[in-house]
Amino acid sequence: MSSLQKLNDNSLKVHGTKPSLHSGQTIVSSGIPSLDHVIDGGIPLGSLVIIEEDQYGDYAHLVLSYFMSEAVCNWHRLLAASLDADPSKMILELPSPADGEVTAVRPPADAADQRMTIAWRYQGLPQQQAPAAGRFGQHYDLSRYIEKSAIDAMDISLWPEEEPPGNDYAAASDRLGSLLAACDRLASGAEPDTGPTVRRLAVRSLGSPLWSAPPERVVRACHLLRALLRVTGAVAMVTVPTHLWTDEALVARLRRCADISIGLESFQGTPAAESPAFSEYHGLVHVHRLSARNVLAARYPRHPDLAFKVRRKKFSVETLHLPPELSETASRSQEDDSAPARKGRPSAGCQAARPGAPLDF
Amino acid sequence: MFEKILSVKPEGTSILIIDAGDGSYRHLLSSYVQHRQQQQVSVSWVPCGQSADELPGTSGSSAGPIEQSDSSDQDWETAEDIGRQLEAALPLPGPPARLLVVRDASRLLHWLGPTALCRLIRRSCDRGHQVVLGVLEEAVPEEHLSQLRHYSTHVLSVEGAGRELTVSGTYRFKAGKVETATERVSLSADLVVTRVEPARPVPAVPAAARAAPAAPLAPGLTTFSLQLSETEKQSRDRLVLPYLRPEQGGGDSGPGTGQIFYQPDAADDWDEEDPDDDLDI
Repeated sequence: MSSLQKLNDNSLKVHGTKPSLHSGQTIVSSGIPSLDHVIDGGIPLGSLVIIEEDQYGDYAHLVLSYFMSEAVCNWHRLLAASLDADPSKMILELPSPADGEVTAVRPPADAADQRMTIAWRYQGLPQQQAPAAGRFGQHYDLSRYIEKSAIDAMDISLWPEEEPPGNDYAAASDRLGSLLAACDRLASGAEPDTGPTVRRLAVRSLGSPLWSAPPERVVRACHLLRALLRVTGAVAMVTVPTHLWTDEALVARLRRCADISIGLESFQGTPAAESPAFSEYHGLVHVHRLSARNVLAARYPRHPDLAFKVRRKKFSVETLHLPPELSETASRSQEDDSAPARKGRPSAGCQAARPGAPLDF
Repeated sequence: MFEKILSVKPEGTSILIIDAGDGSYRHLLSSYVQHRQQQQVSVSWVPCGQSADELPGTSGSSAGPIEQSDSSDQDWETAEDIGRQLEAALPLPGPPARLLVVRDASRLLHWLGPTALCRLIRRSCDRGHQVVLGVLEEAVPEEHLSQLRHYSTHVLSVEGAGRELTVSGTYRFKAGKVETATERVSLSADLVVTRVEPARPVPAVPAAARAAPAAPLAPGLTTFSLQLSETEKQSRDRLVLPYLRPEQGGGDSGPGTGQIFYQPDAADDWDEEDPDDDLDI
């Protein structure tokens, strides 16, 4: 055999993970391949991702549902938490993979490890292909949901377990504390029998008015959550409606609390929706912060202007570019601004004021 | 757009009516409630610190536990009392869909804070009912208003007095479509919507007024004349440019028709022949 044999790979081989090309850390997909490309391959284990919601929150929740779908498709343990929506309904409306179905049965991790009897010289070579089950980063179809039977077979926890009573004047810190306790239970729990797996936490609209928590407490809770993730190696994605916060300094503190901070700005209901420049896109993506753990510096995308568009089978994040200018009369708009000439008499000045006059060039 | 929210199914939606200061939103609110009552939707009025007698249109509303306990509105002592009444006002889940009306949300906001109202909106909509709230813009802080807007499906800003209202609305429909529109809504004497038409946009200041001519300088400030006298302006206006076609200057009573008069001098070779005549193409 060649002397350049690769040493035994010591990284954890878990479904839905792969080592990062740039930093070597184990990363998981966010569920959106083009977003993975922006955040340098994927989300490293032990990271907190904060998505700042758009005006109406629709697209942020879509990003979160892709994250949860990725968890379900790769048999990761998931905690779905929200006060704004019913978590049990959230997990029933997860987009299904665009190609193929989600199987409830997870293949064993070492299925490919078979003793070769004929080609025994190739026994020691590392596997060339990724594990057969659980792909890293795939496209999801928004028109189909994952089957309820597949959801029931997964290890999914919900928070709150039951709808809180209406006269719930419990202090905000109790709710945040309860959420952190639930995260701790999931992240620190024992490994399942089927092998090591990734724990994912998905929190929707943390810090919304229903939490009745001042933004300082939300920032503190995110800080504690990140500490928890560092210790346990879980991954969390949290959407926060920062457009309701009046203090910009707290928004900046929240972004520093996160490992990856992304803001979404949608064109819904704004004049930009009718603008021809943005006709191909549904909104803008602002990358505030990227993960710089275990590396010298984060690799930010080359072009800071990113936009997203949502199709039925694809959520794509790409560099914003204007559509080509195909109109032939675009350069002649200044004729319309000139005052019309009085009938029968040319106006003062040395230019023909009638629009479309034959001598205009 | 306003007519659309009158016609589409309202279950699971909420409407926030913000008044710019005249108090005219009450007519629109009552008109909407009346419209729903005509569609056989049962209406519940959430106590806001006013007796039910002051609410217009309650004579035709379906009697519910809320109206019967209007005397207890004045017995609020603690926020818990109000919270309890708010909780009692929440309809149970399941059909038929009910309409929950909060006539003056500003008082509830002062007593309970925005969280309770947002929770009321969220839970009512989750149970398939509809909530309509009215609020005075000046009476609540902008932060609370933005939180209410966050949870409302449709947000209408109302201006105007009497029965002629200007409604600027942001409407969210299913599938994430968001539309904005400014319309003039006319209500009849019995609060029926008679006319909805798009509001004419305020005409832009004409360009002539925008680019106002410079004030004439006092004579003697400069050594050369920058202004035109009246006769000079008139003669400039009368000037016919030589390159205009005769029909453009037609009807002109002034002198000259824009012809070019050219006097060839000795060095010019001026003849009427066409130099291309001898080309054989």
